[in-house]
Amino acid sequence: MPLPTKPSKPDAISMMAALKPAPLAAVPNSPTTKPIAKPKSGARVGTCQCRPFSEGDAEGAEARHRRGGNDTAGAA
Amino acid sequence: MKTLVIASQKGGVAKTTTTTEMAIAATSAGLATAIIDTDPQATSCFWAEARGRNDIAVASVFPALLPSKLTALEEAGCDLAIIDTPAVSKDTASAAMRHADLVLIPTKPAAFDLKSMLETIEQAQSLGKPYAIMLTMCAPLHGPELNATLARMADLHHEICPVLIHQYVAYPRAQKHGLSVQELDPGGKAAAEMRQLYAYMCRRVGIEAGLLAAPAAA
Ligand SMILES: Nc1ncnc2c1ncn2[C@@H]1O[C@H](COP(=O)(O)OP(=O)(O)OP(=O)(O)O)[C@@H](O)[C@H]1O
Ligand SMILES: [Mg+2]
Repeated sequence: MPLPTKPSKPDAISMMAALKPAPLAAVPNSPTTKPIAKPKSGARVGTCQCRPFSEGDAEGAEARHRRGGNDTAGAA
Repeated sequence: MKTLVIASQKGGVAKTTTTTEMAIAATSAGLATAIIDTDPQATSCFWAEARGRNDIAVASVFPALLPSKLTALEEAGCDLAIIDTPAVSKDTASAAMRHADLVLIPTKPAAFDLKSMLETIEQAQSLGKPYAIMLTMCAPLHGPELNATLARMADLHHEICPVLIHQYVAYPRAQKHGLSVQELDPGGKAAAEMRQLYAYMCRRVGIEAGLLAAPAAA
């Protein structure tokens, strides 16, 4: 059974409305906004240019990658 | 509109219990009452969800938004706003106390709780707010600790709520269903204490206690 309130008093719902966050102003859709394209399947993601590790590579591409260097740095 | 703040730096001392019980007592006495929950744990909101009725306004409010939300409530015709606060966060407690007509400080009669209580009292005093210490979860055989607490408070000239709140299993039982002890067992001892606490709160904030009708049994 609902709790009694005097008729002249605001009910819980109107007080809840006073406590609710103000609605956000609507932002119109930009005509230039395009969905971000998904990479094609199989496409390489990332920018690392390290060569794959090969025999005779004294330090190894993996190690240089970890250091943040690139393949040619230090070669000269 | 009057604003009651329930605060204590100590956790689990019945802040949310006091908030929801006072809201039910006030609503059933005919006051338009709203609960503002500033605790990130949102226990008052959780209670309202479990209640599943739209008879008490309960909302989570960021402390920074308290001034505007209290103004909105007053404009909507609210008579009594009750602010539940989190343990530990002094900033949130202060933000709430700034608006208080009365700060109720629930405290268990135990050493650790008393230390936290003194900090909460200092906060209320530094803001120049009326406050009252409310002893909660007093066990029937609490004798020495309870008397020591009361004596210490009297020595320090702190305002103590004359209604002692005892431990009753009715509280967790009622809260599980989003109810108050006043609804679960209107004729019980827990409900009687809550009605006395409500009458005390009304005297302190200067509102008519209203009809003091027992809420409808659940
Ligand atoms: N007088 C009482 N007798 C028995 N149990 C009680 C009493 N008062 C509160 N409780 C129980 O103690 C627990 C903690 O109460 P409550 O959640 O109200 O404390 P709180 O101070 O709000 O806690 P928090 O600091 O986590 O917000 C709850 O399970 C509640 O049911
Ligand atoms: Mg709580």
